[in-house]
Amino acid sequence: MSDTIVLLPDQSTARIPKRNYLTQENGLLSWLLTRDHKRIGILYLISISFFFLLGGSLAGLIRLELLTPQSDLLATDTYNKVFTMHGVIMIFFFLVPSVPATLGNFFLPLMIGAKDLALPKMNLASWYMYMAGGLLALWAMITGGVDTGWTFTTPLSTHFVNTNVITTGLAIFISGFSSIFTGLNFIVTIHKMRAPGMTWFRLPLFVWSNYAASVLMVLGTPVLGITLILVVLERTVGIGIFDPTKGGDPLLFQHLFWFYSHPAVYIMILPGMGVISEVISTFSRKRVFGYTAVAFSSVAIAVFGFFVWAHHMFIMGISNYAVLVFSLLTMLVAVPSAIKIFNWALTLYKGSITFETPMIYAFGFMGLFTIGGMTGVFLGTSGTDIHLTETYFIVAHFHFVMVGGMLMAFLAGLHFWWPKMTGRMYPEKVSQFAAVVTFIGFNLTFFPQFILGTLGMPRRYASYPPEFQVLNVFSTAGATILGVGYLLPVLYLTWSLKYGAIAGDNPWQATGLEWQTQSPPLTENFTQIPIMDHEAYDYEWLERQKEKEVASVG
Amino acid sequence: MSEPQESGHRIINPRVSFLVYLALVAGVGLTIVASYQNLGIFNPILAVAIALVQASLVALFSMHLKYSPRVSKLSVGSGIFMLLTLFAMVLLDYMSRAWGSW
Amino acid sequence: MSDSTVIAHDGLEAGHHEHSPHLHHQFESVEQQADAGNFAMWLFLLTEVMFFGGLFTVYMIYRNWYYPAFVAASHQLSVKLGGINSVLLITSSLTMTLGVWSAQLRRKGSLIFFLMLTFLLGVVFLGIKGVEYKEKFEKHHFPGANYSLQSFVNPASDPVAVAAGDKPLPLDIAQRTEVYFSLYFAMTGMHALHMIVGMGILLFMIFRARSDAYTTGHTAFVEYFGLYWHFVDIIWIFLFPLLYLINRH
Ligand SMILES: [Cu+2]
Repeated sequence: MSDTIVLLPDQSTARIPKRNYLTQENGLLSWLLTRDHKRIGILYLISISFFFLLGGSLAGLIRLELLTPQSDLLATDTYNKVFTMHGVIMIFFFLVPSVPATLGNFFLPLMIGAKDLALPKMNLASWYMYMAGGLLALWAMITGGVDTGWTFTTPLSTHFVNTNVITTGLAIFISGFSSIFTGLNFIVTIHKMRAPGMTWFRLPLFVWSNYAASVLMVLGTPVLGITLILVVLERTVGIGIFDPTKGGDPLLFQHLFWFYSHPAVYIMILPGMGVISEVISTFSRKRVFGYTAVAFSSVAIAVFGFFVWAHHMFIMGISNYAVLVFSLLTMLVAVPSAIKIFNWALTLYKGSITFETPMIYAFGFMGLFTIGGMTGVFLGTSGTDIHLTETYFIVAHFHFVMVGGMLMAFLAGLHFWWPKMTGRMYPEKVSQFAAVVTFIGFNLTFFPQFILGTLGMPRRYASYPPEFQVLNVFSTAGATILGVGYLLPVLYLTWSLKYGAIAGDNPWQATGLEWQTQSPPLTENFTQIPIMDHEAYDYEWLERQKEKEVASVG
Repeated sequence: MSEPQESGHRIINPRVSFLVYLALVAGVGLTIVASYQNLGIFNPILAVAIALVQASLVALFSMHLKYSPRVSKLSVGSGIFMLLTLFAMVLLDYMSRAWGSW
Repeated sequence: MSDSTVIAHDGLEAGHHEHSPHLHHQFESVEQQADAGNFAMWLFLLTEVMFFGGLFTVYMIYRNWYYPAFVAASHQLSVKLGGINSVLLITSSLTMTLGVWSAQLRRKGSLIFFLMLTFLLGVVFLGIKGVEYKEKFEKHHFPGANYSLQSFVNPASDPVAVAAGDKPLPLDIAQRTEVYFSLYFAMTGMHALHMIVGMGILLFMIFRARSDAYTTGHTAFVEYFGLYWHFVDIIWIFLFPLLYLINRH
């Protein structure tokens, strides 16, 4: 037994295959007009990384301001704009498209044995919509910003602020199309483009979770769209749908907004959970425990996710009976998430575990997501919610889920599939170090915020009472470490593009169809459409394949 | 040309289309007539019921849903389900905010 | 093609599909492509259902909250014009069906005829809608700074209100008519916007149909557009009774 499963080809003779999706065509236009899902995935990866670094810098500014109790670095209204733009960029331009549009785009067709997504033109259009929305949001930010918080709560957003609500709202509306196009494309592809033998219960769990997320994108996003349109119309023409002075109900805005935005957290986290399933199975050399349960829990999360949105409104004035019902339903949604965690743990049990970088990130995910999820139960309980909501407790909660969960999963997936995408390995030692740094930095940043929240420090203020300073200093120090943890991958991944070791077809000895083709893959993915004749995560099948190859070569 | 019809769908006989058309126009007449009668609470219920019948006719025949693959039917079903969820869960709040005033 | 079973495609057959000029590279067979396209179109309509669903939710709440205001405001609309528009749109749905049918039977002349007829009916619909909007603007029933309560606090001053037999509303209730008109303009406006987009595509199709784009077996685009157009019709089928016919007796 070795402490690694990495199996690289002989570096002195190995070459990146001459013909692959990267070398197929050259020139900027061949990228901007491409219909190849892999190239579109790369386009998304680059643009999403840009927005992530931007949103991250804004987060840095926030933490820097909160180093001291007074608002000294930023004026209070600038601070409002900074945290709003941080939220808008991170949620709509990073988290929502992160895994589906990059890794999903790249690997979904490969995993199901298809040549491309069902609607390649729509896929490209999706990226353009994303860029149009993103650039419009940037423009809104440069020309004055917006300070409503990412939730655009009425009547604040319609009556009391004088910032770029309209532009930002339209930017999010436009980027909504990109998410609808991606989701629609995935659903059609998964239904109609599976290779022979690839039945629903042979699909990798990454595909299942992206399917569930796609359903949410298709059903939820249009409601957000019409809600933002109504806000824009309220600001421009003065229609009175959410305007209390005209008889409108501001709470109705929140109902419609959270009808999308609660499921949206599952749009963000579900694909990440899919990544974790792949990584955990590969690095413990075992089929995911309870495959069917994990697959269906994704669907269950998607369905339940639509019944709980009003838990964001417990203190906003909805009826007590509604609080009761929504609180109860919120507890229910914890069940499928827990099913996943338990099944991953049982996959690890008696597995041959190795600690490559993706696995370290996956372990980070499991721990942090569990904490994030459990604190979500606190917030779903109506009594404790009244005390904890709108404090740093909730900030810590969703950062544990989104940064500790989703971002870890994204990085796990990025490292896991990097060899397939580029044909080269990332440097293992540095990246293991970066993963550990991220984990430490993350905990130092966000754990103190749980305490700050229970002590009653409200969110979204530039200043705070001096007794909170110690914990805030911890948090800011942690954010610095976290920043280093995120910058490292940017550097060494770029470095590896040229100097990384040649990866070969299947460096992890993983079972997915995407690993049974060359890396980087051909434009048409496979030389001939594969026939799936084994279950997902069947490592014995892989062994037999290898024996066959040896026999035929010998 | 021996090329196969690209869509495997059935071609709808224009006679069916005309029958659907007549039913829809009759439906418009019926809603208008019904709305001028005092039926109390049944006024809006009848109006929506007629609209639902009309919409079903359009979906099933004009939009070929009756002859479409099962997944297409499924997507319509999930749309109706989500719409009802949205209505019901929002109503849950509004109706229980002021019992009896609804 | 069933979803839950193995898709029985023979990998060896790959070469034979290249005969159809309309088969895109990512698909294995014409049937797969048609099924995928049809499904994608229905999913798109699903997003449209949810888009309008948000508006219908808003309508549902406020109609129940402000019923007297909704009644009085709804009486300001012309059932005659609304009814005519309903029939026009239903007719355009019929002509669209016939257009699809012509394309399937590869009759170019009749396809173009029916597409143009559909377009024309759309133009008349929007024209009538324009007349209705204009009247609302002139009576200051468009929500916003210039909104006027005249017709509701003093119905005697407004022949339309007199004809409907409206009683004067107390000021606070009359003010809620603005919510109704906000919804009226938002809902019919979104509907009209969908029609305008559809008519743009119709023009494009008429142009393309002249060079036999849809009458050589490749009817998918016309069929998908037909689905969209019928969907817009369905929305109007609900809008008409909900907006025009509140408590008319
Ligand atoms: Cu939530």
